[in-house]
Amino acid sequence: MRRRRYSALAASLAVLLSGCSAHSRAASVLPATAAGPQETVVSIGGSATEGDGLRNRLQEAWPYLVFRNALPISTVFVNAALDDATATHALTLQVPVATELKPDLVEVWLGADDVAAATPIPTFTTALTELVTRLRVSTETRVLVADLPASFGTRAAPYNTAIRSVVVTTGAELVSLANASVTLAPEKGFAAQPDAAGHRALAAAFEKVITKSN
Amino acid sequence: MTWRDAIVLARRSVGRRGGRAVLTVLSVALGAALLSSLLIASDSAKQRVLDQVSEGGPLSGIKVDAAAPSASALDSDNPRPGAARRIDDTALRRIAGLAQVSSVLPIIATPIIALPPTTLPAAAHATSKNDRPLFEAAVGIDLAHVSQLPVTVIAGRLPQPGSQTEIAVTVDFLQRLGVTNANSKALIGTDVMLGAPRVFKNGNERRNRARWTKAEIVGVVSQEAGNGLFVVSLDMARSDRAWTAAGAPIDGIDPDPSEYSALFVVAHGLDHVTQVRAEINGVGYSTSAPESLITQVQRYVHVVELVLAGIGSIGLTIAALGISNAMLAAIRERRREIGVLKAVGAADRDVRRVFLVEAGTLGFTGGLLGAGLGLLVARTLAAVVNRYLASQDLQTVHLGVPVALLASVVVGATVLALAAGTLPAIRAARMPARQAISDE
Repeated sequence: MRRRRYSALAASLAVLLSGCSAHSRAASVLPATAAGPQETVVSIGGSATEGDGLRNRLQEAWPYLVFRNALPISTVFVNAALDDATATHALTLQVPVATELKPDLVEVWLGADDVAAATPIPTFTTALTELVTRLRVSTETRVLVADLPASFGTRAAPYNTAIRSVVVTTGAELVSLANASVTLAPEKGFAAQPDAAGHRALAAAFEKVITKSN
Repeated sequence: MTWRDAIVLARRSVGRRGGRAVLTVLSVALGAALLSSLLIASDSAKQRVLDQVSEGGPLSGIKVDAAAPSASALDSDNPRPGAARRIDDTALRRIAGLAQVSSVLPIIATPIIALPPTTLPAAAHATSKNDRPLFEAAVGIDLAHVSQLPVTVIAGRLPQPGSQTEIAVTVDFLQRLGVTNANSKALIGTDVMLGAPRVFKNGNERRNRARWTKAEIVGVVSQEAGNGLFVVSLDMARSDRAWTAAGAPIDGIDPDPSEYSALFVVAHGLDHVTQVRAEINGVGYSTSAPESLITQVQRYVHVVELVLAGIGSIGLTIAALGISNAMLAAIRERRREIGVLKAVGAADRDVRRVFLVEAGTLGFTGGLLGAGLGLLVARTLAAVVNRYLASQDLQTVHLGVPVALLASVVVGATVLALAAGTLPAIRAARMPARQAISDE
């Protein structure tokens, strides 16, 4: 008898509690992102590095591919590249942007516009040396310098020799594109431009060096 | 006779007439359920309407623009701002020091280029292509005090305060991607590239170089803190804004020199909003607040609440009359018992106590059951309404557990039952012992 008398009270409490538990069921949410310390990355280059000729440069150009796919979420990235930039132009117009940012990593791909402009090799070498030296103000700063791929033809050979010597003398790291299949788009502008597949190959070469040394 | 004896006698009486007691409790429970479900529904509806009007923020919220007030600044809820005027920390502190100001939070809106993920999760059912950058704005807010801002989380959560890698996206962003509110959860966990633009001038040549960051979408929000598709931490907005502000004008417009794009001020209650707005105008800034609209809406909603409470109370009163009837019937059946009680020395107040305890028990049990049932009914209704709202791509209704309201329904039912049982209890108490036994 007593049990029966208490059953109504128990049932009403159960109804109240079921209401409360339904309310406290929270929606699933992501845990806080454990982002590491912020790193700054800058890319320096010419038309190709800016993404000229691509349908969607922000999605397809190699610096953005590297940023999106190979760098941690805490990375800050600035693409300082400019159309038709030779090493001399880059030294004047791009290096100040890079140094303002005090980057941890700089990706440099110059030479294609110098080949098109037929820049004398000594001029190219001097400008590139100065450029890398100014970027490496801090020994902590990694500077990656890519050479020119085979698809740029024999005219690129002396520039590649210069790039490799600058890498050695300045302590930068070489991103060798000798074996990368950097396919080119049909030539329209000042210099040869990689197509979307070529940009993916370029990004892969940079990513390999970045991740290898990390 | 002690209270304990009265409780034992009342329990025995209820147990002896189980069927009648169950029916009486059920009638009280139905009355209480009607009242509580109507009140819960009207409370939620009121909250929803006020949230809509106040855009999710506090009702006494005031937006302060980085502009001077116009001549007719206080004639309208949303006046046209005057000439641009910087808001800096000094202005913020001055406004925070005004009487009747509860809190002041800065807002930093900054232009942003956004690249949504090229491939969205299939569950998002996006109907638009999203491979093109969006030229928009990010709104930096103090994420540690978000309850003081007009921001409502629709899915997921807000970014961590100070985070440089987490963002929340707005409903407008979903629309740009062709994603409905119902599918918005699928976007959570995806990455967006955000670029703060900066124009570099070299002679006549102008170059835009963005400062790119990657951010994870952690939530979807509805917000009116500022114009923008993304809600970010103040730190993130500040870094982006500093990069943009260091450059040349974008499209002929100089970067905003103001430290803060706006302030969100909360007054100590709706009654003080007009006064605080006038004082902020006096400091030299234009303000806007939906105070007139909120006051009007509150008046209308209060009328609706009164009508619904009236309907529920009628139900509960009918149930109380049922208790009264049941008690009167019990007195008729228990005349002998009353007579014996009096014969063995029970006072009038002891008999009254037994009947009042019985009435109170029936009312309390019915009220408790009714409150639970009312909550269940309100939840079921809310689920049906929310399904409809979600299908219409509208914000759903949040139904809380109004503990105070439910408790007052239980107390109300008990008090009403005691009131209904008072007359029968008095009649039983005044019955002479001899008459009670002889009538039997």
